[in-house]
Amino acid sequence: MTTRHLTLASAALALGGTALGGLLWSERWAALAIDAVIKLCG
Amino acid sequence: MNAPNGTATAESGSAAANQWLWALLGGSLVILLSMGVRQVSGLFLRPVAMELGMSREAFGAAVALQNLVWGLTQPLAGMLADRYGGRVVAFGGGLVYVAGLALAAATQDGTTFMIGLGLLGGIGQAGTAFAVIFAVLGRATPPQHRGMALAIGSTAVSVGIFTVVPIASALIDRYDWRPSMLVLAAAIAAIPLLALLLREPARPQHAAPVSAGEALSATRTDRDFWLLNLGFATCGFQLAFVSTYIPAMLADGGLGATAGAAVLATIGASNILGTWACGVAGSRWRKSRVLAVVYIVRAAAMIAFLALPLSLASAIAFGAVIGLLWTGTVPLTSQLTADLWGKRHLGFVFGLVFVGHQVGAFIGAWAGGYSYDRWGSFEPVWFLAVAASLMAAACHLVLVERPRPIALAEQGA
Repeated sequence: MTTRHLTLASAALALGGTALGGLLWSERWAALAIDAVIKLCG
Repeated sequence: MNAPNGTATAESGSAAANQWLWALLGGSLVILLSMGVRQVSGLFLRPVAMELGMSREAFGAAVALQNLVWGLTQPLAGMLADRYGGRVVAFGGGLVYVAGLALAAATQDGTTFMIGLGLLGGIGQAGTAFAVIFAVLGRATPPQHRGMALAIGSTAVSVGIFTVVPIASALIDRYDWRPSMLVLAAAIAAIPLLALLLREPARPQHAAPVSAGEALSATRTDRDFWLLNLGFATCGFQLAFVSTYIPAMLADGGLGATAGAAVLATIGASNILGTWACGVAGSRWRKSRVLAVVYIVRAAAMIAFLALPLSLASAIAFGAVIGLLWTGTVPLTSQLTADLWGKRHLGFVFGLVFVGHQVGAFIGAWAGGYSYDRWGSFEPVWFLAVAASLMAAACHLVLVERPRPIALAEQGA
């Protein structure tokens, strides 16, 4: 594991988190995610 | 004959080498959950107040109590983590946090709700928040990777803040507040399990035993400890003031109720990139100088926001800039604390610095309301926030970034 790997991992976390949060903030997506989890849990 | 031994040594060496990566993964997930769930209290205000017959002030008091308990118990949680390991403290903190949320979800009266969310929630946060987790990461991570490890941990916090809020909001809309709070409690229940990943390297046998009391006297008499405290208190003051009052301020300015939510979402999004950038900057440049830049830019952003005519565009632009500088101060201040006073008592010493942050936050949340009630405007507090920002920048510019004897003794041991 090098500093470069860690930098890439942190950048991926930052970008992935921004994209995921951006989707969830549109209410439709947050509701869809909740319904999907509830279906999965039966 | 030597081969099996050699292989065993290489394997145990590799396991030890990977141990800090597991600690990084576990620690990041613990603070993502802990800090993400912490942010959603406000969403419960209306339904809880209606069902339990609590006033908004009483609900606000529960949230204020949570912040105060968190701040005041943080040095103790940090000290326990320094002594017994962050693993034990995060495990216990997670259990207390779950108990608090479950109690709040099940209660029929306001007082029990306050004990659950305010008292137990605050204690749970102290056990699972920055000071404990960053102290573990500081000790478990090899020195060359420490800056990036803290950048990842802090980015996880901002991702938690940005993603848990919309999920909790959608949950409350669909399933009412009690099941929603139980879902959050279930998410927090993962913390004790994740805490098991927080392994720290054994302390060297010959390490000079420095007590928490000695750490306290080493920091108490150090001018720069108080400068760091003052700077971090400014951070708490600004964040609490902006996040508490900007929705009301925009609504008063005729921008409608949704403008506040849009600005808070913008802050959350740009905070992720900002925290990451601050963590990376702190691993390359002197942390005190990066912090000074953060406070100068915060002051400039606030001046521009006040000077420009209020519009949705100016509010979103302000949110984007202030979001970049939102919680990036946390990894920088934590790293600076470790550089100056060592890692051995990082949980305790950063816990002490964090008390300053929470006192600032308490004043920020209170001052906005006071100013509005007294002068009918938030402007006096905005000016105070700009002045405090410049003062914090000055504090960090004069701070001498050099390891103190207590940190050097640790390195020499």
